[in-house]
Amino acid sequence: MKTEGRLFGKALVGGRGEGYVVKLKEVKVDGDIFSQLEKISKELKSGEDVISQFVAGLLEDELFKERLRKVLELGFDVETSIKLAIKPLIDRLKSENPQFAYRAQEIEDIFSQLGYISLFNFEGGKNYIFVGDTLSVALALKLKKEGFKGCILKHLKRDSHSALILSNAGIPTVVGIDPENFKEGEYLYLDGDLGVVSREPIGPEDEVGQKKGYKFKTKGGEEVEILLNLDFPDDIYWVNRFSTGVGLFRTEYLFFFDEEIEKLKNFSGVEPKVIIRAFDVGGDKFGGERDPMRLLEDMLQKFNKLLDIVKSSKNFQIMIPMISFPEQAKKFYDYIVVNKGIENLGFMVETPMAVRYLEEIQPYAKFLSVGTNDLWSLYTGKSRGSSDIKEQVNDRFGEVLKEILSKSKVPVSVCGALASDAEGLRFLLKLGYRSFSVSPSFFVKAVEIVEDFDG
Amino acid sequence: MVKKVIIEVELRNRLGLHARPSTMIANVASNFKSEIFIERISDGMKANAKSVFGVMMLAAPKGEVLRIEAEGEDAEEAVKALVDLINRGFDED
Repeated sequence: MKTEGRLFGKALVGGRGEGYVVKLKEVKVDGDIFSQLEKISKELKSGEDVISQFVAGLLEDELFKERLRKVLELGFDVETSIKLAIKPLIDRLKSENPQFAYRAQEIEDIFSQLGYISLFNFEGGKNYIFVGDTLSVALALKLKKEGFKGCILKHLKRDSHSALILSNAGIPTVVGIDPENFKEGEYLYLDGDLGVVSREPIGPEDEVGQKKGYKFKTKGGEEVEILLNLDFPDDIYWVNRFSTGVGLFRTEYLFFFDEEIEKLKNFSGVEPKVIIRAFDVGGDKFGGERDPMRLLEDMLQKFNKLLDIVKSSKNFQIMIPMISFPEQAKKFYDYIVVNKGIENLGFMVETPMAVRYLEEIQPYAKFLSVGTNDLWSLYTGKSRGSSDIKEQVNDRFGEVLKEILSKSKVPVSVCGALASDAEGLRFLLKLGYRSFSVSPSFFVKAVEIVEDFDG
Repeated sequence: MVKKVIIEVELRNRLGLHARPSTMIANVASNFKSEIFIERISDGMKANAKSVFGVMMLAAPKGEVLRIEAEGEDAEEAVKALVDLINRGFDED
């Protein structure tokens, strides 16, 4: 299949679309903002979802309007004023338990686009594709009303109300692609069934031969395993699309909502394996919990729940992050393997101490996985996300990664972002790594790089 | 005749005072002429029950005890309606 000039995302709403890119932009407000907000409120009330109703109520709330009035009087623009007016509520919710924090994010998403609902500026009479980070319900209604031909987003939950609106309106949608890839006004093509976005027409060569499976061969005939990094239960979509397994299933989000963790069982038949990473132990995962003992009890309860799920399927494996010392590895081994009877225990190698003590740590593991994000951050002192992935492609870091490989007597893979970068993956292949867990949007490219590798 | 009614009630629904219950409280409270306040007992935070912004700011979780205070000619009816709503778990189950 064709990969050149293509961007691959998650197919959310099927069908093909093409048109000129429209992004949100700052627009000056003429006229009374409050009467515009009243119109927005009426539009939101037509939505059936809870959040739209809530935001509609907020816009009519005297306390909110009073705050907004005061901020506008200070001279801030509309967008900033709305953000400042809503800020105390968002901050309060984010400081409380994770369920409120999640709700705060939903409200923020709507408000971040609120100022544009009535101010959405584009020429009529052409085909348009909306490109953005996410899509609030109000904006989804707008796209439907204006007859948009496609939608490309960084993230949107499949079961969200906005996704439902797009689906009902038949607007082909691809998710998981950064809007920074596109410029306002450029012409794009997208296929909402294949999850492909392109600057040239999408044709038969895109449909043929999308690679599937988890074992691929280099030019030299060496076998390489490629699995996926996933976050949410509805990511089962990717597993089915590529017929591969999961090298890293992050569980932090699932623990915000107890009912979500049960959905992990949907992955029980996935081959060859599903590696479930236990959540990092940290106060940041439990919102504003002020009682440390309650926090510890809560964490242990959730951890045991996770272990019960791992035990329920032979395909599940458990991986513990942030191990640094052999004593820690032994404690987890005693609890998980000896006590709970779960054999497939692995550890992430993501701290300098873990690299140093790897020979003593690994007897307690069936497998290892290199978390290059934290490993790089801890070695260099650079915070995660503050440096370019490509900085990690250097001899010095390469020595660390080679050291891990040489010390490992159990299977070792790489699940960090370095493996989901073209240059990074080639670098890791040259170092001798042959097992990777990558982001879904990179899978097709990863297969291409592996099959092209002649090293 | 102006009355003042105060009552305490425990939040029973699983997600506490999230968006939907907050909206419902504000909608119900707005039907009454009395001044109505809701206070979160654990930290003393108080909100005008007719303000969805204020009620949501309480961010009260399940198990939190709320003090409802109404003052006005229909204070009794207002408190009864809100207590009933809260005890029904906002019809979420």
